[in-house]
Amino acid sequence: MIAGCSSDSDDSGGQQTTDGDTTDVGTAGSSGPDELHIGVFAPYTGPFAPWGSALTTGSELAKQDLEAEFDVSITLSEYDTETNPSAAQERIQRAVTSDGIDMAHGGISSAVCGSIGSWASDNGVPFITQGASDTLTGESCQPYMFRAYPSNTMMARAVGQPMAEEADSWYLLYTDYVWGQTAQEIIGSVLEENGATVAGTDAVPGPGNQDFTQYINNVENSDADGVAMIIPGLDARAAASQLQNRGLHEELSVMFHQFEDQVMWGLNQEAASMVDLGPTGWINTVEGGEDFKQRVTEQGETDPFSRQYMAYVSTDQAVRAAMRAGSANGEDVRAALEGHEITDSPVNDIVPNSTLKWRACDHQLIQPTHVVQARDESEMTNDPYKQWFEVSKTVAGDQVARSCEETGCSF
Amino acid sequence: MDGIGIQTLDRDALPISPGELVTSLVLFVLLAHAFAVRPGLFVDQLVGGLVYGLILVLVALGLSIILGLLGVVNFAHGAFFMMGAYLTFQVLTVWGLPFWATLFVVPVVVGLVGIVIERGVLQFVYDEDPLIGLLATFGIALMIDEATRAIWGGSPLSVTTPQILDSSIGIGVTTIARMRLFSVLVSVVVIVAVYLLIERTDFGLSVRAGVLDREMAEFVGVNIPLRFVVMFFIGAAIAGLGGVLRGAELGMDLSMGNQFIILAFVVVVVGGVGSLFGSVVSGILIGEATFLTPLVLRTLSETTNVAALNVSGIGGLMPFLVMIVVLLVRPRGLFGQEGFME
Repeated sequence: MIAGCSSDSDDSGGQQTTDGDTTDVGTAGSSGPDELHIGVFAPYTGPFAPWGSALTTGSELAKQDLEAEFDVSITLSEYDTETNPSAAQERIQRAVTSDGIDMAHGGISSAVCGSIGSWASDNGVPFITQGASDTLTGESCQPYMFRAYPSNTMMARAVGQPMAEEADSWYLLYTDYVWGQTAQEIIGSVLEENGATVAGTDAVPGPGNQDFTQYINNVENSDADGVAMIIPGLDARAAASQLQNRGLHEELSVMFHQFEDQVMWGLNQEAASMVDLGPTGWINTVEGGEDFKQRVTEQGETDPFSRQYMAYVSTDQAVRAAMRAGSANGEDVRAALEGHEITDSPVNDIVPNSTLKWRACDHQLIQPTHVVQARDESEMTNDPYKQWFEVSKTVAGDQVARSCEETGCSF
Repeated sequence: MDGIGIQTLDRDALPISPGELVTSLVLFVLLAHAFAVRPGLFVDQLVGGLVYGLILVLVALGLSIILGLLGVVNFAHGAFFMMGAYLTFQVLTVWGLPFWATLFVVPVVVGLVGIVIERGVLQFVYDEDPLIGLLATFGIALMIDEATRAIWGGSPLSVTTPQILDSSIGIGVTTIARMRLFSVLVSVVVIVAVYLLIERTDFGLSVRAGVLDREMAEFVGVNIPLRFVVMFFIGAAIAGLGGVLRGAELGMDLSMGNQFIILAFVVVVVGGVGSLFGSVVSGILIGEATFLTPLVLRTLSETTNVAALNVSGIGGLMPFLVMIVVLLVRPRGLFGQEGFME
């Protein structure tokens, strides 16, 4: 195995609970590694570039907290994955073999995450991903890959019933790659389970597409009462802008899958108010974590959204697992994370009264999934940070996650 | 003629064979069927294809002018287009000038940048291997990309258009955004102006003379380098104007230059290298094929209940399918000269 070269190794492992789960035992002076080198994999160029700096900010905040709590020195290194699985694999290879990272987290595009996760697991490197495609904790699951972000199914099931209540028929526009394809299939079936219909679907090019004219024409000429935008990142921003230019946001209900405030902050408040529904892992109006949000605003010089939170969780959990295990070795970290419930971490302050648990059977972090909607324009605030959306519904993770049997993962 | 020119359709050049007649009839029936099944959507896609096609024409026109006139494969031409879009943001949002000012300010600025590049780099490679010109312009395109990223950042941007262009016009079966009609209008005006400049003015005559026989033209007193600079300015300015229209309608991002330069090359090849008329026809053809083919297949799929006919993502493939078919049937392109590519 390549990973864990700079880490101490012992067999202390995580503290087992009586039902086989582990809980946090992170305390100052625990017998974990003295140094940890973590690779942050994110798109620092290309259509997802604004997301990269968010991952760095979240990681930096977690590093500060962990170094204050534990006797450990953490080095963070950034690696630009672009949105290219081949480039991402080259980066993880270099990060491990040349730079000597012990652990990795990040990735936005599911194809990129799959590429990193596959190589990392083959080489014993723990990797916590932010991709949402079901395949990452399904048929493409990997022994040392874990996922901090809610899966497509978790988000689709959370938003399915509200979508059916919002409109009877929906048009699904989805970006034609693994994340969009799987999300479209799940949302379609969830809608039908809840009594709504799918008026039509269109695969749109991307990521990196900025022209949605012909697909919006299709939506406009359909019988749909709503349109589901299963389009990632800045592509979604362009699509929203074009939807607004055509005036369709006033005629149709609009759902943005895997909603991220960042997408809408690039538009004006009037455009942002088109968001009727959007499932997400976290937004900055989720109750709690005011200190975290303030630190993101001050240190990251940006408004807090889901990616800083997910990067914080990923860094925090990777390091705590290594401290519990006494090693950053893939197998040890895996043992420390599988079945582990987060109970004694700053993460619990950011999302209080929530159950967060790493499921052993597929390595999914089971956590609350939120459905958000735009506030009225008059209620959107920008100080101390942008708060344009609010949570309309929160569903416990275990209510919306696939069962272990459904995932197709064979851990 | 080796350079630019506008040929009229001539029966000998494009004889209609029985096969072509049948193909035309099949296409007509398919389009009529799509219109009958989804009239509103058909008109929307028709207009969408026309706007898209005319933007392609604006980029391809300059490319064709520079290629036909100077013999340079100008890979930086897409960067001129992108620069036009980002300058629209600069003029409208940063400087606060009215939208209408962008239609004049931006093409002039892009044209001046074009002159700097032509005088600073390209004039030294006119007599060199075409590969050197291509590599030089590719390098320039990369520099413009990075300069754009440094000035305006990596995130896509958008601008607000005047209220008069915001609304739509009803045409019975559907409504059409005024901005799109405006784009069509401006594009047509530019195309006609370029045609008149090259075909109906003494300046155009002297440019064409320089292309045919530079030595003889200079012998009779024509300042050919000056004319080449002016034509480079015009080519770059037209691309910049295309960027204004595109940026105003759909926003601007760093990938738009590379995306459009490839399609513009396809347009030039399909239309026939050196033929402005060919570029116009080809651009509109490719725009319409991109927008109408998915609709034709979808309606056919609905009528026949054969789901496989509704091919996902076929629109994006159409420029290249059209190019393959045209080059197989007519290697010189629709209106290109015999021998240029065969």
